[in-house]
Amino acid sequence: MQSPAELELIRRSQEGDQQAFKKLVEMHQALAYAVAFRFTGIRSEAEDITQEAFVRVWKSLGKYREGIKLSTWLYKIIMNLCLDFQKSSRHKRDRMTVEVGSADRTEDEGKRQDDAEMVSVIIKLAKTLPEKQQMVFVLRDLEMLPVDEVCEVTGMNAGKVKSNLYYARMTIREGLTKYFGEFIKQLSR
Amino acid sequence: MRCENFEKQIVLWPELNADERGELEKHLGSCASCKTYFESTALTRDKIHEVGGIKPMLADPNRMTTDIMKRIVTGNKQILVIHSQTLQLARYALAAVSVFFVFFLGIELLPFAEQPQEQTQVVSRSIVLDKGKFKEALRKSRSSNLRSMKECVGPFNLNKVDEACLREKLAWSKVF
Repeated sequence: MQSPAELELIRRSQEGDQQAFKKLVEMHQALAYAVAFRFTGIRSEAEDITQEAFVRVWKSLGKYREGIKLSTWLYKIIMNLCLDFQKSSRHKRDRMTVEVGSADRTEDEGKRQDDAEMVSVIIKLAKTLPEKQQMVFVLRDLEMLPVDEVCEVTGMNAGKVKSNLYYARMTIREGLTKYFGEFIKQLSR
Repeated sequence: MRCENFEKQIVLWPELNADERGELEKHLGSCASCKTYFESTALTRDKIHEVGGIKPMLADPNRMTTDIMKRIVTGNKQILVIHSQTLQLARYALAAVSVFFVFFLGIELLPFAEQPQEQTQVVSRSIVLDKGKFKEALRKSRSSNLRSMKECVGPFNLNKVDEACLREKLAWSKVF
């Protein structure tokens, strides 16, 4: 459930208080950007999607129901925007483009390059998945949402989520073995 | 259950319930290949989760907030502009509709527009009500005209009618 402070901010935003909405943006923009980036793999696209998502939230705040978490709602909007992006010609052109170095600012500078490469490869592999599998993989394995929240965001039932997750994980595992054959072997030892 | 049936359960380990986990653990205890697969899957999963823990960061969060707020403010202004344009269009449309109604209703209500309708009604009413009288009048008129024509036939040519005479007779018959 959401904190009373957040609910108060939402209520004030619904009444048109832009300052209250600004606080909500500050609270959730990192999450929104992260999921958009993990889906698109392109910084500028992720930023555009984040902006558009908040504009949509602002416009449809009147429809917001207290029972649903704002973050879940935001995830839903971002997923829809990401799917729209995937259908666009721009995405088809940039399909295999993933910006390396997106995961900068890690705490351990020594691991920075490895992590950046791993993030880049995983996002690139995720982009090759069918859209339902990609959604489920990003939300469950990268965003680490519980299964019921993934169901709520994607509109799928638990069975479908698990089934898509299984195929997604198999593809990702296979891809990682190709990219990091030695690495996986080392892990297996 | 055979090993291939456990493959899906191994991959979906975090989503399994307690009973399913118990069943899988029992199998892993007796199957070395499944245990190896389970361990490598777990390591890959951990690595992916580790990567998931590294959140992609916004280059400039403040700029992002500012941009979003700018778009919201501009969006509101655009909505107002759209509303004012819509209102203006609605005004013109209403004016056009009122002119249309005034024009057509005005024509309908004008005195000259009503007169022919009333006359027609009177004529039709008189025809319906005075049918017998009308027939009688018509018969009289015809016999009178015939009589007038007979009276005006020329003395030398029976097929020729004196036109001046006939006009005079008909004029008299209309007067009476």
